[in-house]
Amino acid sequence: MSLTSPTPVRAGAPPRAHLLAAALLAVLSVWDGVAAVLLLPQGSADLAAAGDQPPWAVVVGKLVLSVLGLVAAVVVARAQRWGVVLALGVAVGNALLALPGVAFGPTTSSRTASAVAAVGMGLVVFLLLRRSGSRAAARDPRG
Amino acid sequence: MSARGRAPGAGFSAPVLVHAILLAYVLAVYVAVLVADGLSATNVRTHWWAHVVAVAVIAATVEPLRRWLRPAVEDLLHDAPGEASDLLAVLGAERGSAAETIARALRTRYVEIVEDGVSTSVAGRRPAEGDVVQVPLRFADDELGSLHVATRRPGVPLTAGDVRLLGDLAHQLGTHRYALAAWARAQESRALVVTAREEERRRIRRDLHDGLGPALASVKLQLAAAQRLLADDPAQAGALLADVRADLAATTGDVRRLVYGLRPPLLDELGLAAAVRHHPAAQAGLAVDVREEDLGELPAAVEVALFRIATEALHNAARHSGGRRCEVLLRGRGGVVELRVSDDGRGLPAPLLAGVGVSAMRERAAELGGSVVLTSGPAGTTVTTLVPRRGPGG
Repeated sequence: MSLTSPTPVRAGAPPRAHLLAAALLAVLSVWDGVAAVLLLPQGSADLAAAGDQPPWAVVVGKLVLSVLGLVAAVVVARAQRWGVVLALGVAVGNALLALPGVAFGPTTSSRTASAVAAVGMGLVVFLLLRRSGSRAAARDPRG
Repeated sequence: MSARGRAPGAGFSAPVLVHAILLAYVLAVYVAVLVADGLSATNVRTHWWAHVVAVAVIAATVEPLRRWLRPAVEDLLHDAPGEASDLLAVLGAERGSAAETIARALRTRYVEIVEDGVSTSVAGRRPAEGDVVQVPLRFADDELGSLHVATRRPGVPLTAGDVRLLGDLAHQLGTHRYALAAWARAQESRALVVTAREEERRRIRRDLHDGLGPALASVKLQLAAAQRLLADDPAQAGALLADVRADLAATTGDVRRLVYGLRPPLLDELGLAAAVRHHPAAQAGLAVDVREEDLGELPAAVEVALFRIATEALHNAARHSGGRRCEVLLRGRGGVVELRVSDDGRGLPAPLLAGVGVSAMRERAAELGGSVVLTSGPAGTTVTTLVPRRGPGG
């Protein structure tokens, strides 16, 4: 980073909705991450053979998105704009990864977990994009 | 946004993010409807109407969702009201380009700065009235103008944060504009002071050179002639000395007038209120009542200015008012000195064309940072002068 191109930092505390989104994203990321870490040692061949486990690509994808999701949650909580963008990307990616599981999960618990992840990530997107409720209704803020 | 302070988020295309979210939404709705119809790993057969329902739900909701998403994502990516350097640049910008700098900093499509009812800087085309936020430019209680800023998109109001920022920006801009105007006034005053001082020096020099100098030289010559005549013709020498005496009396009068022009001696001898009371203008037919309240000690410049204004006002009252009485009040009020000259005459003609006397009063007060206000009615005219007690720069 050069002295002439400082990293822009948004001053002040983040909106409450962003804090909620960050917390939700962190919880879901930890959940997905732990699940992925537990499945990862089985290897791709064993997972495919088991039949009732998610595909290897989904597990790896979930692990990567979990790490990114935790980073994004911390950055969102520190009120930095790039964290919000990253969180949105992670949430959309996670939702897309979870959607097949909602339909084709082999067990009820896996389908439920996928549905919870998809809905949770949708909620994260909603909270991050929800604009301030106190719109600038007044034409003259000082007058 | 300037290239220097490019934010990471700003490089991310809003449409990409919007469409990624829409894609996830479409898939989620489709999957949700089909799962509700019984789609699972063991059952991939679904009813045809489930697809119709999914498509219908998506078709009905995707556009409203897109409309909600687009501004939200754009605000997310672009709502930061510029980098600190962008906003500070507003204060350093030339008057004509300030609006453009603000528009760039706030990323809005239209900005206009109006000062004293005149548009001094415009960027972009003014949109519909409902899409423009107007913020006053103020310094203390003075409204210097207004800042007009368009919303980023038609029909989408600025966020509360934007409005708060605009208020702060307008406050800074107002202070900055006031400081610039004060600086210009100070420069102008300084030039006036220098000019006035030089004019005064020139006048004194001219009076000394053209009046006192030749008069004294003439006296010297007359004395020399009288000295020569003294032995032979004492009578003519006496007559010559009488002429010298008359000339010296006239010269003494000239010197007194010169000194009086610099500072009326009455002020030193009697004080301000008594000096006004004893001035010839106060003896010119009007019954003048001079009162003094909490006046205290005043700087010489303030005393002279108030004395000149008071005598000018008395002079005007005697000449033009047609009244019989005139009251002069000299009052100290904290850091301000008030001079009020009121007569019971016929009042000022309407419209009033300020003459040299009134203009001179105003200039004298303005030199000290004060003001002169004339009010008139059927009961007479009042000239109210307010000047800072500390005088110029006070």
